Amino acid sequence: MKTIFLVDDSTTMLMSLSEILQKAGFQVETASNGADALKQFQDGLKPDLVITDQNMPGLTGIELIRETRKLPAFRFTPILMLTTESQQAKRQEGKAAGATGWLVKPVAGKDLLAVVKQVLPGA
Amino acid sequence: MDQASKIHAARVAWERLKARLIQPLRAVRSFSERMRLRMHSWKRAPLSEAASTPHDNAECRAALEYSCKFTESFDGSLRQVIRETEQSAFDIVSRVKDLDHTATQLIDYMTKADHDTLEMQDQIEQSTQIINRISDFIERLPTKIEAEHQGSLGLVEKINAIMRLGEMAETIKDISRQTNMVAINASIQAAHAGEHGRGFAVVADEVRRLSSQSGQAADHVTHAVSEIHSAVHAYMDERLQRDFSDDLREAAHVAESVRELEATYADMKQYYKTLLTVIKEYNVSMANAIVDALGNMQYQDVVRQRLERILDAQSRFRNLLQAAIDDTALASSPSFKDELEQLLNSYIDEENRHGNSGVAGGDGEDAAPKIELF
Repeated sequence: MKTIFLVDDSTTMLMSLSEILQKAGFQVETASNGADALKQFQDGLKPDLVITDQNMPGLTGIELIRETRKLPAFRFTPILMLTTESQQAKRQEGKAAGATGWLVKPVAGKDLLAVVKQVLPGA
Repeated sequence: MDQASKIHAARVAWERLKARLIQPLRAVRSFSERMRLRMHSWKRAPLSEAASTPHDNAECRAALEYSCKFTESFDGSLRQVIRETEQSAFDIVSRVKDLDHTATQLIDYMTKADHDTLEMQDQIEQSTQIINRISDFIERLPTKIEAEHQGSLGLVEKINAIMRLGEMAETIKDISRQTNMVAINASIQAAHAGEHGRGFAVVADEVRRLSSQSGQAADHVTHAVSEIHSAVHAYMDERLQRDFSDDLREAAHVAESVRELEATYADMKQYYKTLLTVIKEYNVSMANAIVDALGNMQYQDVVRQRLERILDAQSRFRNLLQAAIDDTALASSPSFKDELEQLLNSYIDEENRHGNSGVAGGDGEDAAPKIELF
């Protein structure tokens, strides 16, 4: 079973996305901010996919990606941004930091699952 | 709580959430519109001209203070909206999870029913095979009965063979008659012989008596055999005829029943197959609806962030107003107007950055794709 790590400061987001992904057969881990997520990654947690929000207290999503990519275990791990921000400049910043893709909230459940299956071959 | 009640409760929660959002947002919109008109009037008539007297300055300060209080009350309402919509979103997610749980139970039940149905189909097929064998047997029954009838005819032949005993009795009667004639002649000859023939005459009389008794016995045998033949033949004919027609009628009836039973089994199998297909399709549809409903919960986060940006803009707006209250000269200066415009533009830019092209003064451009893989 593939593991997906969700990072978002919104409890509603964590609850609803966890339910969607678990229903699709994924194991889900969560963190409510970037710093907590990064610490778990540094402590050895190795999910198959990370989905992170951008605007969070402390570490932003792009900053989290930048720091996570420094960890050898996460060099090729797909990381998706799921944010309300949609501007091209911010997308390019995310891409440069190492994001695999950019999703603008709200994303339909079936579309989210389609993207997840696209970046997680065999899922 | 049944499924319809859960759906109703989720819908009620959603309507409550919308109601909680709409009223404060309308108030914000109304206030923003009035502020826009006020700023527009400032553009046409600078504050330095409008507030040229101490009386005007006092009125201007009072208006600014009122505006500050107004935005503060908005802040409270908006924070309450965030809390309440978040709570409503929790409730909805919780109820949707209940629905999902119910749907999962239904799928489990149907999976078990599917398994049971397969087992039942196996049993039906086995039963059908047995019934088919019985049907074949029944269909062969007339031939079998006919063979038995032929066997019965063999029995009749045996009885007829017995009847030939009657013919033998007739032969005995003939012999008896001839013996009687010979005995009569012997008696006549014995009479002609006189005293010498007396012993012979006794023997001849005895032979005649025996001949007579043999004839009578043969008559009895013939009569008895004839009666037996008639009785047995009549009985056999009647029984065989009756059994044969009853068996044929029964065989035809059973064969028809077997065909009806087979048709019923086939209908039942088809019914179960159709029922299972429909319910599985319904479950897929319901699972998709649940995923959609959960996906829509993201709107709460989108709205929360939008309200937080309004709160931030109002906070900065209030700081500007407070500075103008503290120093009315600032309110009449061009830089104050520039700072207000800068604040407004900053807010609009921030909304555009988050894809909210509906904000007043926004450029309305939102061409970037919602999903982009790099």
